[in-house]
Amino acid sequence: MMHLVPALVLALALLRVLAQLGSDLTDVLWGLAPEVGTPDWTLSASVGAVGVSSALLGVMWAASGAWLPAGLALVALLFVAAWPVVRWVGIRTGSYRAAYTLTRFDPLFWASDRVGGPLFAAAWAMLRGGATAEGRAWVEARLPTDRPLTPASVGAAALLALARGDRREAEAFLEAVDWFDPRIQPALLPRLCIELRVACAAARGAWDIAADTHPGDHPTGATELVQAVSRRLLGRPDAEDDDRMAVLWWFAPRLWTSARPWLSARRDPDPPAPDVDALEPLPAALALHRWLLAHPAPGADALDRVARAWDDALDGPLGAALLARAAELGARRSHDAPERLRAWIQDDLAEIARARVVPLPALTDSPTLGGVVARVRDEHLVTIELAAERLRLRLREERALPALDELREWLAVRALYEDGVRQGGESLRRLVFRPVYEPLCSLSVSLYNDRDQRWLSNALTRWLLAEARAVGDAPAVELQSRNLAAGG
Amino acid sequence: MSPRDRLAANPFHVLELPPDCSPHEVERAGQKLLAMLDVGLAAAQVYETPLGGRPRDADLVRRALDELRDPDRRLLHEVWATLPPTAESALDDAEPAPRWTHLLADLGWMHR
Repeated sequence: MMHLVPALVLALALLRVLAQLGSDLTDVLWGLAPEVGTPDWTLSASVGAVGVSSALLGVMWAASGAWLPAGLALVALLFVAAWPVVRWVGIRTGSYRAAYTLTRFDPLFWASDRVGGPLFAAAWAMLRGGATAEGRAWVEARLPTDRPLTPASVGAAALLALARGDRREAEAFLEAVDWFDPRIQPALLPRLCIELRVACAAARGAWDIAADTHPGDHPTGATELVQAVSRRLLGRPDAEDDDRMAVLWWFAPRLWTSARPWLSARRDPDPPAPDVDALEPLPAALALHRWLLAHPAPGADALDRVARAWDDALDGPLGAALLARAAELGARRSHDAPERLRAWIQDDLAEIARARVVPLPALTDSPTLGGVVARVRDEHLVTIELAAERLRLRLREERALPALDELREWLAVRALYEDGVRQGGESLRRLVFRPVYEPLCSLSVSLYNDRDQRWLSNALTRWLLAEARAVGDAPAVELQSRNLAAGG
Repeated sequence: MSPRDRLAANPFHVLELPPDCSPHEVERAGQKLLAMLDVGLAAAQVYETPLGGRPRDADLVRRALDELRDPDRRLLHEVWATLPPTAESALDDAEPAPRWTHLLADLGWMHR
């Protein structure tokens, strides 16, 4: 009698799960595209009920020595456990075909993206199995070309990029997954993509990207540990202490061996600046310039200090000495020698500011640094506007690209825009928003109306809306809100 | 050319001359170094810069000669050449950022 209630629940729930499995099997046999979207609540509830009741019945029957029913309950449990089998067997053994097929029958973990989920699993298994040319081609052939791109299929494209050794493209695709509609994001996907993104950045030594990636709501233990290592290596003020590192290490069992040397890693102290107090302005500026060039990670303070030293030198006797020496040498352009020297110094400082992504608003206004800020800012402006203009021209000529290439183009424009904003601050964001907004808005509309790429269009609209809000562009906020409502 | 390379390629350092040397001394030092490089003398193949030792070849020497023949360009090189050269590298601390090379494999994303 004790078994009756859970057995009844199991039977009813199993019927619903089997109905879904039957529908999935029909899709596979007839080559139909699986569904994308939030799964029916009855299916989610039934999957939970099968899991709980079959586990309960299995234990009860096993305890009373009824081994056959206990075994049957275990089989029922397997109907809802496709993903754990794929994760721990299919992917580990590199069986990409099996991973793909089994994940199509997963009723729980990938239910909201049944197009991309199997692809993601197959791409992961292919990568884990050594990324053979045959495996890559097999997965690539299944990426949606004439169907809407979904978040997990973009995740699979990221894994394919990794298989090709293109970590930067992989990171860009993984970041794009964040912008897809949360209603079609499989529960596991953001967590996995964030871990992979942080790991890609740390593997290429981009510790600032690893540290600054938003960890999401439920980061894996490994994500938290790698981000903590990144903060310590960068010498960030919020870096974890040794006790906290030990706790994070415990919660990242996959890294128990390899993380040990990284637990104690810290940023090397900056090379001390030379003592120039007793020096004349020119030797002082030169000594500081040499120190800056040898500095492994100069920041705004270091650039400020060097620029101030040069301002002192050029405003002092150096300017007059240069003019006199130019006359002595018979230089044709003797009159602008001090300005040519300043331009040389600005070239050096601009290149360092660009390479280290030194925030321009943090640099003080001075004759030398003013030119550096203007130069770096103009470079960002020109680059972003050119990329946006190229996109605008392509759209005007109605030259459509495959969906994945349209995504690549959006990500390329966005990367330039965000690099500019990261360095130039809010004032640069306001300057470049409109030039970028117009063509990207057209792209989003065209993806939705003409290309049936509703999820990609939705992701792009979400990004445009977030940026429109950041710059306070009310008409753009209104239009993108309307587009999002219409597309949702 | 990066700022470090620009400083290291200062023609006065390449030719091992002081900034106040005469045009005649420039030509003589250049021809001497070209001859030494031509016969493969080891002493001519390295020179000191403010950022440490650097390799030297005939192209670099010829470019240094061109730079110092132009008074406008020589004037600016003279300013930078007042930084004394040194054999010891100033860039020992500037190693590239460490990389957690096998992290993706450690996490089970890739084949080791």
